[in-house]
Amino acid sequence: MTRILLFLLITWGMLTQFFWFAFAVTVWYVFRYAGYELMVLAILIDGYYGAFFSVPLLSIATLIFVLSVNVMKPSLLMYTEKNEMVS
Amino acid sequence: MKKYLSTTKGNYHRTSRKSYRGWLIGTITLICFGLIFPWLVSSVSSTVLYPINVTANWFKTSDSVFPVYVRSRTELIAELESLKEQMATSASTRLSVDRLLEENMQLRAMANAGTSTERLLARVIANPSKLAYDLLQIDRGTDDGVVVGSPVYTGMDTVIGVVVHTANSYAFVDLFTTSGFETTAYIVGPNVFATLEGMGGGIARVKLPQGVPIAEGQLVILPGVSSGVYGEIISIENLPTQPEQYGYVAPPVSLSSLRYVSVSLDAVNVKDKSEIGDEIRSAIRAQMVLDDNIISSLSDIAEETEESDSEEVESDVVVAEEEESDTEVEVFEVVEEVN
Repeated sequence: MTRILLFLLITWGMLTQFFWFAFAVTVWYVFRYAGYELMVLAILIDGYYGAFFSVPLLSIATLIFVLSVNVMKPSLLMYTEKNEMVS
Repeated sequence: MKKYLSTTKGNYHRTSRKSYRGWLIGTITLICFGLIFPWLVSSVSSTVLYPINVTANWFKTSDSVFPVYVRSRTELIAELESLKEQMATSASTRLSVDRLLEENMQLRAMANAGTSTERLLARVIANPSKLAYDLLQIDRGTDDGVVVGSPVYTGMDTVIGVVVHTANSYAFVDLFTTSGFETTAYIVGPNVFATLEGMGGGIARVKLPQGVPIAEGQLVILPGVSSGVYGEIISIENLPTQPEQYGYVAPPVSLSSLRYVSVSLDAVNVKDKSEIGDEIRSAIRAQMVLDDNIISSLSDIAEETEESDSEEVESDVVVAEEEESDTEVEVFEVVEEVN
């Protein structure tokens, strides 16, 4: 439920003046959850802005960002001796 | 310490890699699909994000109790004060403007130039500082007759950009100040054409060679748009060691404070690459075909040249014969001396 609400909040923020707020929530969201659905959201927002008629920068940036965070995430988490992940 | 941390059992790496690949492939496929069919993705996005867009617009522009309450009364009071100030300022210069406008119309009529086109009032939903891209969002779209390429004005003749993307109920305006946007401008004063390039942040600049007398306050006009005054030079960067100088240009109204704009319903004549290529090819072909008058004059010149050449050849033959006889005489004299 929290995840859905946060996702809607990010969508809302990207379409209104709360752009930096949305960015901050996105960073936390991607780290907390996998956040792959944000890439689809970025594609939709780029479509909304008509960015596919030139270069969809937001989609590309989100793709790189989400994948980078998910690649780096295992290094940023702590593991116990029993292979238990501590977040 | 361990009691206060949340622990999760499981192999994180394996599940992550699977979903990682799937999402990567899916997203890249979607992006490629969007680049191939941008209009389709745009339509889908407009449909999917429609509820959020409507809610956001309602929140920002509605006069209902809740949005007004949230936006707070102070913002409306500030807007009212600002409008009063603008009215007071504009009233003092209205007479001069009317007189100049009338004179301008008369001169345009005499010069058979295009007059003002039909305009549509639009409200600014979001300005560049509130959007992910350096665009202006207005609340008019294709339903109202807005098309891609329509010039967007503030005031009577200050053009600030062109519509670059339209949906049914909204449109995005690409500003002349958007970074990378280039257009030809005419600077009143030195009376020169220069390329106006967007710098972002509501500022554009013109690049001119050293020696061109540009000054602050000079008007910049965009000849590509009918009656398109853009703004004036507000600052000059001129280093004597550099071969060029820069004039920084800004519209008279700050883009972040724009609330209303007007959209011309006549789009700027946009041509694609193939049309431009065809025109260039036809121009080159036209250059290859000479006019009849030129051909006749060239043939006259050729005939005159031939006549003069034949005369020269004849005179050369005579000279050669004379020289030949002279050498024969000389040879004869040498033989006699030897004998």
